[in-house]
Amino acid sequence: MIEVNLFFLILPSLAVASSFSPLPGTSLIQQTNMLLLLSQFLSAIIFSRSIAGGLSRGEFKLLLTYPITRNNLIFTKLVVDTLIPFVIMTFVNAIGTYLSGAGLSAPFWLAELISLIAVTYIGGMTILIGLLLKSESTTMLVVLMIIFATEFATSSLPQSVQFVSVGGTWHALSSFIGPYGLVLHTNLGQQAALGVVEKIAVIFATVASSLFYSNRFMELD
Amino acid sequence: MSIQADQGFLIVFENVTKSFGKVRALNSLSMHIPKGVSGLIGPNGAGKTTSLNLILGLIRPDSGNISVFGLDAVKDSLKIRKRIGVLHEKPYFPPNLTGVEFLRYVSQFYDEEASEDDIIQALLKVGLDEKVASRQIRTFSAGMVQRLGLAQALLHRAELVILDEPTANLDPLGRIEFTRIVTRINKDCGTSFLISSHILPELEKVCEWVSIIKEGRIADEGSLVNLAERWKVNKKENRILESVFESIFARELKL
Repeated sequence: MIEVNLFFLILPSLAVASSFSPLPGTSLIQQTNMLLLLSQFLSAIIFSRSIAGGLSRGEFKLLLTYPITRNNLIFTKLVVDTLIPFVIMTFVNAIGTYLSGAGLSAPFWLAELISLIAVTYIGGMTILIGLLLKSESTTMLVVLMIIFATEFATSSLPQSVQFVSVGGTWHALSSFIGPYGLVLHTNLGQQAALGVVEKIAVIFATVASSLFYSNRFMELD
Repeated sequence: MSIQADQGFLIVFENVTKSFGKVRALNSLSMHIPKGVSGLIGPNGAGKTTSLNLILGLIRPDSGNISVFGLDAVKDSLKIRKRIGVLHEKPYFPPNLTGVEFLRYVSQFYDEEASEDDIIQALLKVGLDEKVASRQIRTFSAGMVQRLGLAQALLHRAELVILDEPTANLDPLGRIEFTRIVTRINKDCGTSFLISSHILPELEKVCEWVSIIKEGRIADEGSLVNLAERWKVNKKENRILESVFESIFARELKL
């Protein structure tokens, strides 16, 4: 049960629109940088409130007295909490694209892809940290620190580990994404593809471990 | 060791131990809860809430067996929760939902979704007006929240309702009304209750059976009459539980 209000739509849309320029080639990095950060922040906030906040408020304690399993509860929250920020960012992306006059060209769909990767990556991480810490504010703080540390330190990281950050993955992808596709036969293209695969692997690893350890992590007082 | 619905007991604990880190909350607890209205008492930290959480399958015992309706509380937790209703000590209900919306939401977790009639009946049982229940939960008073909590516990025709400190936040009038509601529902619907409470005079009015926990073990349990006989308490006085409690915890009370 997550409250969504227009704040999440209007202000980010304006911020995204303001970073656009008419030429898709030069606007791609600007457009998606903003979406990237917004996706991650929104994801961290929603997942923290949903998982860690749910534990600390007593929402999980209430729900687990009904005939549902912990795994069912966590998995359902993962799906819904992924969809909500992703749908919000789709609106933001669409409104921003419309306001800039760029139209629904390739950058819009690529921005959607990176938004989905960012949301599920940060979401999976936030679930695991939330189950461990059981505090909404602490979880949010820790995840935001990880986002800041990885995103803003990306350029100083060795190239082989730059894919730790969503931004690092995206920068590599966007360096050679033309209007119509990914240049996979280049070394950079393969590294970028590897970065996406690493992201997906991390997402599944965090979700799987949170489900596996959920009984212990969610031992309720 | 086989688990059976022993002699009509709804809940049976057999040598249950549970620790949280270095703190041993339950220490080979063996306890029996029959049908009807039963009380669970003990000082703070005795293990009451831990016992309730074990019954609900929210936590697992380190050792020992727990049987609820003859089912294993660990392996058959889902089946047990279909037959139990719960009102926690500080219940969390979504503040933006109305009472009716919340009950509708809760009913989706069960095999048979409750109809509007069922929801109205549950509200009537607990004395909550349908107009009031159509307001957002954030506007409810403490008494209304407790009644809503009882309604959600009764909605799916639970055989056993567990109440953890149900009257702790209520004023004296609210407490009297709540205990009357519990007695009436037990009499009219045959629903059993397990009430964990510190308010002994209230328990004495409604409970037929009481289990007393001390330092993670059962200090004594039985009907009020049996407890009074064992502890040589005057049954005619209206403070049997208090006197039994004083006798059991005499050392702690330095009497």
